[in-house]
Amino acid sequence: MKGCLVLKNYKLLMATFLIACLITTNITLTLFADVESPYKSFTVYGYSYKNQASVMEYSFGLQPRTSIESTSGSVPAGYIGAYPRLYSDDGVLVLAATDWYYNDNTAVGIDCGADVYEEPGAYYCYGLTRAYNGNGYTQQTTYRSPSINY
Amino acid sequence: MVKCKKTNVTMVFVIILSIIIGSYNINYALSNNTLDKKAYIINEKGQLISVDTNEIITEENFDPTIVYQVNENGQTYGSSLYAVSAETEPDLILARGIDGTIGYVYYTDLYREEPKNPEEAIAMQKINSRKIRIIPLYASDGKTVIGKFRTTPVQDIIEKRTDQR
Repeated sequence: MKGCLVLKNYKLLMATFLIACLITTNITLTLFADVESPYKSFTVYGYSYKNQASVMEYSFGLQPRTSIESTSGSVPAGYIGAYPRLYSDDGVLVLAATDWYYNDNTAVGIDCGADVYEEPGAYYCYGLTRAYNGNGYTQQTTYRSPSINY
Repeated sequence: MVKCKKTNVTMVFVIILSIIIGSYNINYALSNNTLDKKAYIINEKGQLISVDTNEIITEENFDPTIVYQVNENGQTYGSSLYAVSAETEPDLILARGIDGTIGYVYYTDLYREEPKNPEEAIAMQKINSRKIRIIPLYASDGKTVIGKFRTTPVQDIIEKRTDQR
């Protein structure tokens, strides 16, 4: 009876270990790494902002992302917009978002991605951001992210 | 007869000389990387650096004539990776089409009209955000359609609601 209990616990332990291994492997395979540009700071309509481009590397491809954040606290809805783009190493635009994303609600910042690009190669993310200036929008490029190989 | 022979010798000499000069030029171009010489490089901070002067390129010292070419209709075309602001982007942006064709998309086709105010921005977003768009891919003349470029919906959106600095 005692031996049976030990065997049962051993099986449970092994099953837990295997599941943990599977989950960990899955996470590792799904998300490898990412690269980020330095922040670029600027001021529009009394608000200070910083923007950034990044590339998320997954096992199935690369996703360009662009963020803009107010460092002066929350901004009203529709004040900030982001547009992610992915370029190959030789400067060819390979992926771009359909449209700009603006903050739906009062927010401090937004961060959005385009689709995942699956072609092997070296790529940069170079995003665009917009901030409301009281009479339209001021468009600001991010710095380029470091090149990433996929 | 003698004159004909002399002409033939001259012709052979000219051909050999042309081959020698041509080979030298090709070798020079390859060894000096002239065929693929970049005017600008991107440093580790994501800034554009002039290869010749080592300067950081900003809107003030950006020279579009180095980065872009101009077509017969007066439109600039080239890579927008080397633009330093929205104002310095070319009219025709170098892009890869759906089938791998390299061509150009119009700046105005890609980024579309800018909203006038936050209300209009939100309204435009509600209409367009979940859509895939197919826009024409042109040759450098900006007129000949050579393919299609696909844009993708914005996804994995994170809105920071509170100050998380």
